Amino acid sequence: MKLRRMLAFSRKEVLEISRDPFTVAVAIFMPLVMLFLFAYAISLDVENAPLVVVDQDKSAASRDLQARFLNSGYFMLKAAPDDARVAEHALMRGETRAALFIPNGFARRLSRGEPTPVQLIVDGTYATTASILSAYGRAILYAFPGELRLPIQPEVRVWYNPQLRSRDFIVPGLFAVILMAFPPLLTALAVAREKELGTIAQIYASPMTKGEFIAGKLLPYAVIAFLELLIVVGGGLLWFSVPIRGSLLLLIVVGLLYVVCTVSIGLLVSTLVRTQLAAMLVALIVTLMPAFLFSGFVYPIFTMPVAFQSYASAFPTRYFLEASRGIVLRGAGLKEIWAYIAIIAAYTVVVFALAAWRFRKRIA
Amino acid sequence: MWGRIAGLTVKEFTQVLRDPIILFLVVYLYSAELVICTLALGFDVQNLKLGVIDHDRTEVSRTVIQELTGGDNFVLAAQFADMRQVEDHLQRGALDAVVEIPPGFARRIAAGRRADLGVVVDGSNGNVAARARAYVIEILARFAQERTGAPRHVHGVRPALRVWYNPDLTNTRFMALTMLAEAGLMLGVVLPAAAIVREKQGGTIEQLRVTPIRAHELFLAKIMPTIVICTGAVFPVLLILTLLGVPMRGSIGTLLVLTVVFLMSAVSIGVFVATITNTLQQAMLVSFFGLFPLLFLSGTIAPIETMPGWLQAATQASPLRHYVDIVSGLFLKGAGIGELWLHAVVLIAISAAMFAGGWFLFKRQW
Repeated sequence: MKLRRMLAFSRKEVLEISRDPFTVAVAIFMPLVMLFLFAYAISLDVENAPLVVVDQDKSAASRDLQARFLNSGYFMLKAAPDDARVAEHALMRGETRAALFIPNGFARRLSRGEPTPVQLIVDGTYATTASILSAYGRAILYAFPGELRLPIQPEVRVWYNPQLRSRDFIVPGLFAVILMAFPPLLTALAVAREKELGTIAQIYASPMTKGEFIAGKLLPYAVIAFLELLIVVGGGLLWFSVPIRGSLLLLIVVGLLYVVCTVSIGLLVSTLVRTQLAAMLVALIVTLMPAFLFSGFVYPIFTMPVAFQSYASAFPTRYFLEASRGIVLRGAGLKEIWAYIAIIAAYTVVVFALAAWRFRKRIA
Repeated sequence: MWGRIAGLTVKEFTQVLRDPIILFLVVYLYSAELVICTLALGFDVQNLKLGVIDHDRTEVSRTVIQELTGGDNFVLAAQFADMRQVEDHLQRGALDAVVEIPPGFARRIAAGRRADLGVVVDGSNGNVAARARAYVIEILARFAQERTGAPRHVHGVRPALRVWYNPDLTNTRFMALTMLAEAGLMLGVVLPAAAIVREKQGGTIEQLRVTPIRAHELFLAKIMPTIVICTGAVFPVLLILTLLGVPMRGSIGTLLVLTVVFLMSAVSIGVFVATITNTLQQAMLVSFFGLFPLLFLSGTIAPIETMPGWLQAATQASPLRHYVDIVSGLFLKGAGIGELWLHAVVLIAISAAMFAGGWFLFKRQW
């Protein structure tokens, strides 16, 4: 493997990329769009869910109960109709997530110490919201009417992310997802294009070795991917002021390793396909989908059936995600995350070797 | 004119049906991905790992632990002597939450005084943390009402909680419907975009340009296969959904009509993408990543009401958001056109705007 030949090939690749400003813009701009959308759009705790209250009692006690719901921070008054059917209709149209029915005689029964039924209906369509709302709603109802009746006072502290700011949790996860979504696709498309246009035959005819070809292709895309890493990490930490408790240097170094890994996956994909459309399709199935759905980014892995947990373990995203969240949120150091780093490194070596092996077969 | 359109449409159908990759993509998205995501991601957060530090060691404190770990929400992972031991476990992610019962807990309750209880939740997995906090608060509130303090003859509020449309509170049904909607959006955007850009890149568009074919006729022929294939895919999907236990409470006729309306808006985006790009690579990148914002703003990943106000307004522009409301309304809630017509109107408005924009830009290239 001659370094000079490899670098010349990388230079050609860089020239080709720089002549396509559109792709460069997508590579730089889209990760930022994703970062902003995710960081703003995803909130994991439930706040101010719309609630329709049907208060047939209209007593001081019923107003007190209503106020407890609205002051809890979890519910927000959407409407207070007299007719229960209006509330049902609002649930059907998806205008409200929950409806509270306080029946006639609520205050009277309560003061006599009789069992006092109150109905809370939760729209189960969004199961995540629904289970949190049910839990909080029930807690409010159990605690009513007085502090005296709740002698156990849980004092809940949330460690590592005290305000449960979803950004602090989403942004470090997003590093892992974005770097798996973009670099492999760009790399796979670049090689597939050479195949589709036939220019790859010129490479085959040249004295260049497979190692030089693969390393030469990998280098410029790894640099682009590394720039993406810096942009996303910079944007996340500066714009969204996500506090980083561990070492930034460690995050960048592990990120660099991960980027080489994802670009290698792109190369491997490109050895399996002949057209750009196919490259995109395979990239969708082996990089984007697992990175997004099976990495623990939004959907926790432990809730999946065992077979899918092993499926999730077969992709490197979850390991980098664990390392990234560990460093940023929990201030983890090398001691806590070395296992993840080792897995990513091993993965990279295997994928790179597979890509080189597959590429030789193509020439022969 | 109709003859020309028919001829072109036949050619487009032939081209799509001959491409094994496209056929694979269609089948994959409507079957494998739908089933995989439903089976893998449909589960609620349960069996959170709870660590316990019991300084009190009384019957009352044991009952509290029993209450917390008795249901599906928490499993007892381990008991610890003090908080310092716990830190390491939380750090490694071996625990999701910890409950610390202080000394004198039972004594304070017996004396009718307020008894504090320490709860620590691992916030580094926000999805789990919010749930863990809500579960702990609910279970302790119930315990407090049932077992302690209050004189026995006093009955409190008796909450009757009903969960409508999805009583077992799993994500399965919603996830399956989401996947149906997402498959329609992805194919609706990618297929027409690829079909049009391929003519541009291959230069065959020059040949079309010298024929009497007009721009809108070309558009019509390019979108027909996608609309027909994706509408037809609803039938096998209905079967799959039945097998997955998703009830169909609305009418199939309404579903088909609204599906066509939704697909029109998706293909209009695909046509627009094709007019602003020149190579297949560009079209793929734009549609691939242009789909992301539409996906996020649909409420399928995060509920819409948890977004800030300006983003909530932006969700109106995502066809997926409207179609997800349509299918969840039809399948889960038994809604009809009376509840859903507004979504259809917005979808038609989106298609009109995108087609007009695409047509305007394409006229200049034609």
